[in-house]
Amino acid sequence: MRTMRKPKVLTRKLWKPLFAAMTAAILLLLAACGDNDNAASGGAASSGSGGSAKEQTLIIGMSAANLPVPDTYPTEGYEGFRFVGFQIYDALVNWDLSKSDAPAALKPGLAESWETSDSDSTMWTFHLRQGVTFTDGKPFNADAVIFALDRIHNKDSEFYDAQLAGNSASGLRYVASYAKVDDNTITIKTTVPYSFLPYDLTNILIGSPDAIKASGKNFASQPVGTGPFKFVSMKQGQEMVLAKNESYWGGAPKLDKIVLRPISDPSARLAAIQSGEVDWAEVPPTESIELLKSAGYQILTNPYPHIWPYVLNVQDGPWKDVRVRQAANYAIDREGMSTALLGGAAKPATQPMYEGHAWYNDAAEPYSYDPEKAKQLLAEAGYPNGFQTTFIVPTSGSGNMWPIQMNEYVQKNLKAVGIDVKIESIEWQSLLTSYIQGFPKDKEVGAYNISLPTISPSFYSTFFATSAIFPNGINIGGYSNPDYDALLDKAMAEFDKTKQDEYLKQASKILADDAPWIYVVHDLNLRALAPKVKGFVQPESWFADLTTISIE
Amino acid sequence: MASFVWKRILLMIPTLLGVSIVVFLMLKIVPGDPVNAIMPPDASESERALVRAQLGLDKPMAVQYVYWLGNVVQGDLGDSVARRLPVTDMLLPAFKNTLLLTAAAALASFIVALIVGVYSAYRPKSKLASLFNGLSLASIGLPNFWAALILIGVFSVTLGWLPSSGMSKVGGGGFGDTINHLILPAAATALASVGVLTRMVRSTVSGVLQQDYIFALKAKGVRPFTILRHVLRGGMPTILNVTGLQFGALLASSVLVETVFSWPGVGQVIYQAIGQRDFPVVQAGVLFIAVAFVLLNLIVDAVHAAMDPRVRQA
Repeated sequence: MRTMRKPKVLTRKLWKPLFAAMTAAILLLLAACGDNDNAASGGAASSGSGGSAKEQTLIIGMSAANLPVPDTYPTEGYEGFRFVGFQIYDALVNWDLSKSDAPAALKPGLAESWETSDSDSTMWTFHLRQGVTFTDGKPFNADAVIFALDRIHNKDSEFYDAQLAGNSASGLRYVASYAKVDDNTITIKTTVPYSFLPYDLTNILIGSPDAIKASGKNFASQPVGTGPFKFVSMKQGQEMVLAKNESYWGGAPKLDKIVLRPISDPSARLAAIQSGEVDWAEVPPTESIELLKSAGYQILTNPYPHIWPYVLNVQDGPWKDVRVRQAANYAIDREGMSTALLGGAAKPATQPMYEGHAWYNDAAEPYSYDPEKAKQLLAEAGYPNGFQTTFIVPTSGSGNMWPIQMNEYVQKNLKAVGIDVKIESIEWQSLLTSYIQGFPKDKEVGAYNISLPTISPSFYSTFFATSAIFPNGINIGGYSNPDYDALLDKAMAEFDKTKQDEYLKQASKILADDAPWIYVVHDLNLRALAPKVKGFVQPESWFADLTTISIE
Repeated sequence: MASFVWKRILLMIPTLLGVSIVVFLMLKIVPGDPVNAIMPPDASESERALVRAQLGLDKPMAVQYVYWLGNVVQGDLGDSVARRLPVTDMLLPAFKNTLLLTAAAALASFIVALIVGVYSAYRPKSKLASLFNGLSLASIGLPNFWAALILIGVFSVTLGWLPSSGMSKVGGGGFGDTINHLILPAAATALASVGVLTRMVRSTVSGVLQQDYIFALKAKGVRPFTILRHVLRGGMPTILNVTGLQFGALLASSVLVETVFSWPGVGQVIYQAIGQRDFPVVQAGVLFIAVAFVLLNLIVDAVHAAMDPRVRQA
């Protein structure tokens, strides 16, 4: 017994204090976390999501994995622009998000109007909106615009930011120079006649020069813009609070406060809206649509410039033949995928744009679900027994919807007409990296599955122009058609909107008929809103106007 | 004892160095780089190269690593590439949250395992014991993200008792609110370890119950409760040891639960950072967890050594 005594005593001495210490540590941590929360909410009047408080607060469950960094080029892609960028800032040219029955068009933002010189179509003049102030009280003027452009374009500027510059570069690709004329006017000179410039400028957001100078590298922790909402606070990974800008030049929003919460898991977003923790959920799981509808939630869908395609390798192998590409387009049951698999969260895509969009062309190949026609086309092309090919597809990722299930669906469809697809699914960032390096040379790859915004007409040149063929650009499939290039050049140099749209519409027909891609579906921007959220217009856009919303 | 602890602390250095090299190499072997994650897809190669150079990613791997290590030694973990914030600003609060979650989970599973395990060892043939046995097996087999979704479905959506995501409600915060948000994620996390711990407590306690000194105590007619205390003392070194290790494992594996509950912890931060190839954040995050894991092991070993001289001498 003597030998046992010592360890026993020690054990008793040690494990109780240890246990107590652990409990104490948890309590301390809890207290610490609690304190932080109080400090961060800055003593603002609490208004629970279900409360009858006077303060109008909208809580949004974002699908992004993290809160966007609120600099003038926010992170988290277009979701960052949707909920943060376009809420805190304005661009010279804004999106008109007031209609739900027409594609979002451009409208004056911080520039009231713009025109090109009659004698020189590369010389643009922008007349700035007067009387606008940043939310720090400083006036908006031509100097602010020049400062914003210097920050992302002028390497000699003290406040030049290479990373922001890299992000914004595609928007300034055709900009040769810019200058202040007077306090309310600036000019921009483009390298060639370039009518798409206003589209490109929608992503160039203008921050307060004084705030940027004062906070330098920390600007993103205290951003200042002219937008309908102003930044209040951000708790990493938890929530960002925006408050209404009472003196917004476009009219003050009805909401007092917006709270953004990143909830990347779709089931968790669903649970959050069902339990009332958020009032607005981006992309809930499609299988929950009926459930939510019957519980009184507003289920919103609307087409917008998004496409889920396969980018085909048209330089090598079977996909070189247009008949094979058309066959694949005829082989896919888009309707079945949209309704049965995706529960109505998508609609069939047979060309880059959706029906109803100005660039959609109804004279193009219709690509109905026609396996017989597909087989016939394959036979004509010399593949009566089909062939084998490999598609590289993502496993997840922003805008890719439900890639695994959707790719298996397409695989089944193509198998039925004899095209035997081997799916190689890789993680999204790896896919992007290999995508921008072009099709692999050491193995046969027929297509990449990626998804893309088709917001700006520059989409037509970036992905299909002969001049953008890899490695000069990211037309990695190597698609080339002189007629198409000619149309594109005309559109780019055409400053009349109607005529420009007409050229792009004709270009769409060529893209459908030549089928350098397999067009599959357009996403429908599925979101769920609590019944008490009133006045929101679901636009045909990636973005959203939150100023019209009120809470009942 | 002190020399034992010092030796272990010195051993931490090569361990952490090794971990950081492995993480660094893994991130470099995986295709993809942060520049592609932060740039729009239509950015040109020259635009990408510009940003790559700005971030120092154009330098050879070894140079990048040495540069990073040099800064770490000086206490600078660098800035996040994707979020452009100091890494410590992102990780410290997240680490605190993860610690809270896993400590609560470890404590909960320790208590449950102790009660259930001891009961099952005392009454191995009872119906309740076989039920516990089945449940603990199920909890080991249950994927915890799935259990998390079930918990949300029952307690947040159907019953509406507890919140399903985040750490505080809007405009809320404070002690009660945080506890409220903690219960479900902690329960889901605890599920992963409670089964293991229960089975371990049961077998340890049954082992102790077979010891001669317990028979001797019983023969002397000592009260059952006093015997239980002796049993626990005999089994505690093993139990504490395994609990400590489980705590470490929970710390490293909380990422799934954190994602499902949007719990702003370090696992979630690392998970996102991997997706964006945000090297500085992944590096520092793994380093945080490695330090915590090693420290925890050290504490467990020190406690064990204090209880058992044989360990001390080894």
